[in-house]
This record gives sequence, C-alpha cells and structure tokens, in this order.
Amino acid sequence: MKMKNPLLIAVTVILFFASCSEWEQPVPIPDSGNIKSERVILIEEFTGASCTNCPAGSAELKAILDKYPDNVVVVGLHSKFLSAPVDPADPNLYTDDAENIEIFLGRGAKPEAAFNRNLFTPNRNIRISRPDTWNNFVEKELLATHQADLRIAMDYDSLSRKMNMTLTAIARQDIDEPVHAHAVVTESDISITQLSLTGKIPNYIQEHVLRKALTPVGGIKIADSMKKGESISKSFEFTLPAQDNNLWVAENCAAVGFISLGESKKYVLQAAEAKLIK
Amino acid sequence: MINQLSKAIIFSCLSLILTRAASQESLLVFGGFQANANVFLRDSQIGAANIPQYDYQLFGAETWFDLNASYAGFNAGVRFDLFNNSNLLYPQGSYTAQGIGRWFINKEINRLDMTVGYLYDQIGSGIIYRAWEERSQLIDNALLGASVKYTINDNWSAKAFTGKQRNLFSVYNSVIKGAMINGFYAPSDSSKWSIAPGAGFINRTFSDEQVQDQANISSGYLLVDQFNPSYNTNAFTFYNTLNYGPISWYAEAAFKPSSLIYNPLAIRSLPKGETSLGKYERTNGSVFYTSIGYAAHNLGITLEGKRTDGFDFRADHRIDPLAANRGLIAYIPPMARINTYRLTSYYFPATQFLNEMAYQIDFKYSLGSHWNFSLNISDIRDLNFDEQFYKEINGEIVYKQEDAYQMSVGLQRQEVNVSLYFGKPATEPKVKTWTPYAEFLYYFNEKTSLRIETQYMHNKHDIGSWVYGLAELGISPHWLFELSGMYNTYHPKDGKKLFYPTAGMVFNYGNNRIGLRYVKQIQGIVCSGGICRLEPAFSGLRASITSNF
Repeated sequence: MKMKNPLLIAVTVILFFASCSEWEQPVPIPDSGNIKSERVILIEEFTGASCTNCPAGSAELKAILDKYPDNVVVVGLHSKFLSAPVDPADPNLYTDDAENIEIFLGRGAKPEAAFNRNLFTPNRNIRISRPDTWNNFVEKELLATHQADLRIAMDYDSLSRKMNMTLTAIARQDIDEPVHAHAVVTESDISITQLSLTGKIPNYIQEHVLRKALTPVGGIKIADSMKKGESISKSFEFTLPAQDNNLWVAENCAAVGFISLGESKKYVLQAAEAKLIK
Repeated sequence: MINQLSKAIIFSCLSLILTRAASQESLLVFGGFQANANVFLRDSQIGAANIPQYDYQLFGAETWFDLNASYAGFNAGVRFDLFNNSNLLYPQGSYTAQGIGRWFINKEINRLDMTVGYLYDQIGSGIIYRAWEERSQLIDNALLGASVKYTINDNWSAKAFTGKQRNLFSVYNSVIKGAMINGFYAPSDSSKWSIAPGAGFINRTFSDEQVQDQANISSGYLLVDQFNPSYNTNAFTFYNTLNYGPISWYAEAAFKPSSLIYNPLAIRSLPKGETSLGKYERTNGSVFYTSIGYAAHNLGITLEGKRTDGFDFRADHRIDPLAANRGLIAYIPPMARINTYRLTSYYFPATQFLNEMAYQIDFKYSLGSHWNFSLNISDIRDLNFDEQFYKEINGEIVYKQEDAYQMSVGLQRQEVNVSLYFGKPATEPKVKTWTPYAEFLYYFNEKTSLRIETQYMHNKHDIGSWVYGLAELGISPHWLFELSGMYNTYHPKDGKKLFYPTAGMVFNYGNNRIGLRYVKQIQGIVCSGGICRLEPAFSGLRASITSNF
C-alpha cells in the first residue's frame, strides 16, 4: 500500500497533463505567395556538384522563383566545400570569388542560402539551411521596409564580348549609412553530373552559377548616405572570356547588381538582374 | 541581460556565504580548471585547411573554471567559460565568446531540496529529458530555472522543475516544465527481489516567435504537406528496475503524442509536380528501451533492446545542421559498443531519433585470475527490422599477469550504412571492415611501464584500409610519453596513401595534468553516448591542462 499510493497519484497526474496539448486553440497559418512588393531579394545559394542534398535546395529555389519571378535574383555560389566535379570531364564551377563570399558570410554546410545577407536571428548564421524554410525568409524580406530601388542597364557587344552594366540606385527614404554597389556575372544552363541522395544525376542543369565578381565582396562605396529621391549611378565593364568547355556562353550569362550597407552590416537593400543577350 | 542578472545573483550569494564563513564555521570550497589550446598548422593534403583557424587565426582555445562552495546546508557554484577562435561549436567555423557558463544555488530544508540556476538532471534513462554537459562537442543542455525535490519517505521522492534550456550564453525561447517520481520497494530487508519504479512528465511550450515561425514555414508548403503549429508538446515515461538475485532488469516506455518533428527523408511536394526531401511533420513519438543484466560466478551477460519511432525532442524546431546536437531535450541511449582504440572506434552509429530498432548482447567471462573473455554483438536496423544500418561483432581476450604485464587481442567486424551515418550518397556501398587489434602493457618496475597497441582495419570502401601503431612510456608518478602513427595502406578512390603521426607528452603533478601533443588526424566522427558529429581533419599542436582542487 505504501508503494502504490505515490506511483498511482503520479501516473494519474501525468496522464492528465499529457492530454493538455489538446486544450490548445489552433494556430492560423498565413497565406503564402500573395505578397505584392517592389522589393527584389538577393538569394545567394551555397551549392556544389558533390553535394548530395543540394538538388533539394535548387528545387526549392525554382519553386520560389516561380512564385515570385519579379522579386527574386539568385546567385549560385560554388565555393570549395563539396564543389569538386563528380565527372572529371565536367567543368569545375568553383571560383575564388565564390570562396571569398563564403569567407565573408561565414562557413557553413550545403545547401544553404543567404537572403539579402540578413542576419535574421542573433547568434545564428546569415546562411540558412533547411530549404523547406527558405520561402519563409523570402517573404520576411518582401515585407521588410523598401529603402531603395535599383535599376540595371545592360549593353553587350557580341563581337568584342564586352559588357557594360550601369546600376542606378534611387533612395525611397533617407539612408543615413554608406551605400555600396556590387556587380557579378552569372551563367545558367550548365550541364554537369550532380551527386544526389539517390546517386549521380547525369546532365544535371546548374543555374545562376557565379562566374565572376566585378566588385570586392563588400562592394564599392557609392555614397556615404542618400536622401529620399536621390539617385546614384555606377558602371561596370567586363569582357567575357572565350567560350570554353561549354562555359562562358554569352546567351546563358546574366549581370546581377545589388546595393548593400557595406562590409560591416552586409545587408542588401535591393537587387537587379539583366541577361547579357535578351 | 541574463549574464548581468547572473553576476548580481552570484555576487550576492558568494558574498553572503563568505561573510558568514568568516564569522562562523568551516566553508568547503572545491572546483576544477580545464583548458585546451590548439595551434593550427595548415595541411591541405589531409583537408586541414579552408577554415579561419588554418587560414589566418592560427590559434584557438577553450577554458572552463568551476568554483563550488558548501556551507551551512547551502551549496553554490559558478563556472566561467571562455572560447577564443574555437572550433568546438562549429568544426568548420570559429567561435569566440566568454562569460558565466553556469551558476547554481542549492539548499535543503527538512524534506525539501531547492535549487535555482543552471540545472543538470535527467528522468529515467534520459529518454524524455536529460540536461547534461559534454565538453568535447560543446553540448551544454543545462536548464536555467528552478527545481524542487520533496523526499516523501525513505523510499519515495518527487521532483518538479521549470526553466529554459541554455543556448551558449543565452537561452532558447521555449519553456520546459517537468516532474518525476522515483521509488523503491522490497518486501523485506532480506528479500531476494526489489523494484525501483518511476514515472516522469515533460512539457515544452514554444514561444510566440517560434510558433509564428512554424506557421510561416507551414504556409510555404503546398497544402498537401502543411502542418498545424502548436505551442505545447508533452512527453511522458514509465520505468522500472527489477532486481532479483544476480539479475537486474531495467525497462522504460516513453511517449510523445502528436508533436512536430523535422523528417529529413520525408518527401515534400513542390509546384509543377517536383519534389524535395525534408519537411516538418506532426507525428506520435515513442521509445521502448530495456536492459537485462546477469552477473555471477565470473560470468556477466547484458542484453539490451530499443525501439525508437519519431522521438526527436528539442528546445527549438530550427536545427542547425552544423551543430545538430544542440537544443536536445531527449537523450536516447546508444546501442553499440563504445570502442576505445583508434581504428575500432572510427565508425560509430549515431543514435537515430526517428527510426531505429536495435539490440545488443554483451558477454564477459573470467577464467581464473588471469584470463578474461568478452564478446559483444550489436545490430541496428530500421523500425521494420528490414534494412540494416549497423552491425558489429567484437571478440576480445585479455591475459593479465599481476604487476608484470597484460596482453589483449581482439577482432572486430563492422557493417556500416555510410549514407545514413556519414551523409554519403545512397549508391555508396555499405562499409564492411575486419579489424584485428592487440595491446601489450609491460611493467619494467613499479615506476616504469610501456604500452604498445596496434590495429589494422581492412576496408574496401570509403576511407580504405589503415594500420595504426602506438607506443606509450609511463614513468610514474609524473610522466607519460606517446608516439603513434596511422597509415592508409589502401585507398579505393584517389589512391592517396598518407601517414598521420602523433607525438605527445603528459606531465602529472598532484591534481594537475598538463598535456602537449603534435597531432595529424583524419576526418572522422566524434561520439559521446550515441551523440555524434563529423570532425574535420586536424593538423597542429594541442595543449591541455586539467586541474582539480
């Protein structure tokens, strides 16, 4: 009898409290995909040919691009980690520029993505893992304050393979901090062998691969501050290297520009993209 | 904010205790100091490169200093933690922070035992709740809160606690509450049998921010995959130890009804008919664990079994894949032998929280005073017991000549699903190893001893075959010198055959232990009680100091 009483009471209390989650009111799930915004979000995707989980990340980004085609610009970063070609005959998509961005934003796993280089949660990383959560971060950024617009003008000469990109930043409100401009060249439709959880995927198409950064990782300062309505332009020139091993195909290349709050804050205000050949 | 509050409380309590100690009776003060320092020497051939420590920081360190005091029924303690360019948190990153890592104050008044501060505790074997510290992986799941234990009588006690789980120098936003009751019953003092039953309950309440984040994630899923977020998750467990003569039988059943987990292998639908792996889902969780031991007449037998279904239980739903062992509320016991030799321990099966059925058998037999025989078999599979994740058979013979020498020989067989445990592609063949090993410990005299160990791992896949040798000279009571090397005799992929030397020395003086080692180490898995993580290759110098007072 002495033994039974405390245990019976405890079991009864435990079973009573175990049912308490049923008392909760349901939490409403917000609508997704209906956000109207003029913001254009920069997504930097950390990926690689030898990364088994990365096709899941790329599939997620495709879905986000379908949902918000005018609000998202993607740059695929093939930094050293897991970027080695699976088939030695494949082009190596690694670039030092991608590696420098990885160092700048912090090392991590793959697949991961940065959204406007925003540190969403203190003590965590700018890079976000778990592709199934990425849409959430895109929508958070779409709802954030739209501080500036960015226009991109592209001029490409197919004979000389010379491109000229002009970025024009227009402040929608006073920005009391230095503004930096960034310019990179990406390439899509690159066919390689990709590792996945189910093995090798031949003829896998890599999209938005960073091929060349025209500015340092922290960007180039274009203003110490900007007043509402003020606009500042900055031009960048680059000559595409000769086409090699199905790389540097001008038709597949795009110029990407974005403006940020510089090296310390890193936060990207607005992005823009233009194909070299429309 | 937490640190400021911590400092104020610690200062007040220590002042109170020390003031009273000065005027009254004896104060007991004790503690410990542990420091690790790494000098990183870049070696891109073995993969020791491309992290800040190898590229430009060159030096990293961790330090813990514990100070505890007991006086007049009060127990209190404080711990200072320091991390400078440390790779403990993220093996591929750098972490710098310092501050009060722990403080606590405890007082027992009559039958009531009260503790506030950072609490370490567990319910049963830890399946629904374990707050613990494991420094080798920077796991510190202490609960910042309050705990009250009431001793009902000589055989029964009940405990309740609440708080938030530590997250480095902050806390997770969720609130954890728990209670347990533990008892003991024997018909009489001379009875052959006794039981020690217990039961426990844990509730986790997510914060508004966490639930809103879950709702936003769910909204990004297609309708078919959406889940309902909720604030509360409950887990409860019942356990008992039955002792009958030389037999001891522990059994525990734990349940976690309708809770949110992240399933990395679940298929999630995307627009246009595409799919992706990994999603949150709501599921019932359960763990059944039992262990039966028999020990008598030079014979020891232990049988263990475990079934785990959907039991990932954490303080936050967002898991960082580079620090996947943080935020754990539950601790599920491992089901494989803890090996200590370099090559026999290279492959270890991390505990699977979502899907695992496992058993383990351990025999030990002593023949006379010289011979010891042991055999361990472990088998880990999926819930249906169809797909094998891990299998190990390990036989060992030890011959001991008291004060003269000791010799051990053994053979280990392992079969490892490297795609599950090491994230390799599913097409990667299962690793099957044969590892014979031997150890010889010889005492030259009372002060000097020499220990030699050697292992060979035969492996046609993954990292290939390796040979390892170690010589360790002990000159008691102060010195220990070590020289070891590991060589890749066969590599199935790139054919690289590299030598990984290590040399080190340890100096013991009183309660102080000072070590210095030059280490080259391959990438591998570091585990502690079934909690594992990938450790990148290391090249450099490692210094360590441990001290107790």
